[in-house]
Amino acid sequence: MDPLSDTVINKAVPAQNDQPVAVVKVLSVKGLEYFMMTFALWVGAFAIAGVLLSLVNNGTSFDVLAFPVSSLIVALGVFSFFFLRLKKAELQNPSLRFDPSKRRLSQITQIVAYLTSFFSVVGIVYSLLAKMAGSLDTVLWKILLDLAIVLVVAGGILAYYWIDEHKVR
Amino acid sequence: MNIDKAMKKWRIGVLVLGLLSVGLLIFVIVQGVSSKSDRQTLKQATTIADKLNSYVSDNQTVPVSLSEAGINGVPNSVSYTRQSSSTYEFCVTWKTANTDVSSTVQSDLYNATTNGGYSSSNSSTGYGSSGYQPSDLYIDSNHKAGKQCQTVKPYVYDYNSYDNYNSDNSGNSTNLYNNDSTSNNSSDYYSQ
Repeated sequence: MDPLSDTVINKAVPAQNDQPVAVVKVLSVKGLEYFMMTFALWVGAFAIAGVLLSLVNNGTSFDVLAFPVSSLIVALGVFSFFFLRLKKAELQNPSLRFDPSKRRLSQITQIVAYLTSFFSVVGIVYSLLAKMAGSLDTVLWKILLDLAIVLVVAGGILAYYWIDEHKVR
Repeated sequence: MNIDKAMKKWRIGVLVLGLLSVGLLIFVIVQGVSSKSDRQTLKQATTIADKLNSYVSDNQTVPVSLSEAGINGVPNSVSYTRQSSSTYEFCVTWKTANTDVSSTVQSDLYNATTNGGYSSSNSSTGYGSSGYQPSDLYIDSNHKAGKQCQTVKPYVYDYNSYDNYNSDNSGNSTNLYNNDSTSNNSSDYYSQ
């Protein structure tokens, strides 16, 4: 047996510290509620954007609106319940704002909202350039309004979480 | 106390969103009720159209009325007017519009490629307002709200008229199907 092998192994896997490493990560008690609220927020955001985009594009029929409005009603109800409950809990216990489960979900939401807003702005700039070049046959205001709806919904979510996370502790 | 005060603004915000959603829900319910009526109209109009097309095909004539074609129990939302021995107008009154973005785009593309032909999106009266007359009655499930009419000119053998179809001003018939043997100037492809 190579006398160095043990040393090599010890070097390859050095003991960083003596703290236990979590192998199973679970949400905190409030973290689960934050997940439920965040999921409802995502569904609600998609639904409200879907409804507004349909209305802008003359999709006012029952077949077009029924599903997004159903999603919106359910999502908004669930979101409102958890939002008010957690907001009250945060006001009573401000350290809850920095719950790791909550922060992970809010950061994922911010990233998705940021990317959506980013590409909406790219779409707006592209539409303006394409219209100037005459390569855009569709009505410009309709495209801009579509992108503005996406930007307002995603930007609103991003702004809320951004301000919330940057509040003084 | 401060918590209640801070919560008040969030409650108001949620209430505003809730009211907007309820408004949307009421709108969709109203649309749904109208849509139910329109679905019934579409079903009945499609049945009538099938029977009418069959009658014209079998009898080679346009009926004076729908009852002559054996079509009874016509709803008020459907009207039929015989304009001549070879044309008729068929109107359907819809309570709500039923269009989706893709169908509108397809319709616009079709309209563009057929130089203003059959279109349900651009014509103010619905079908056939640009002069194009379909030979078969077809009820499109995508439609505008209100009365939508189409003038249909079926392919019928009319022995009393030489220039029933697409005749030019000189009287030369360009009808592909006209097999009238008395027409000396006919340019009919099949009678030569």
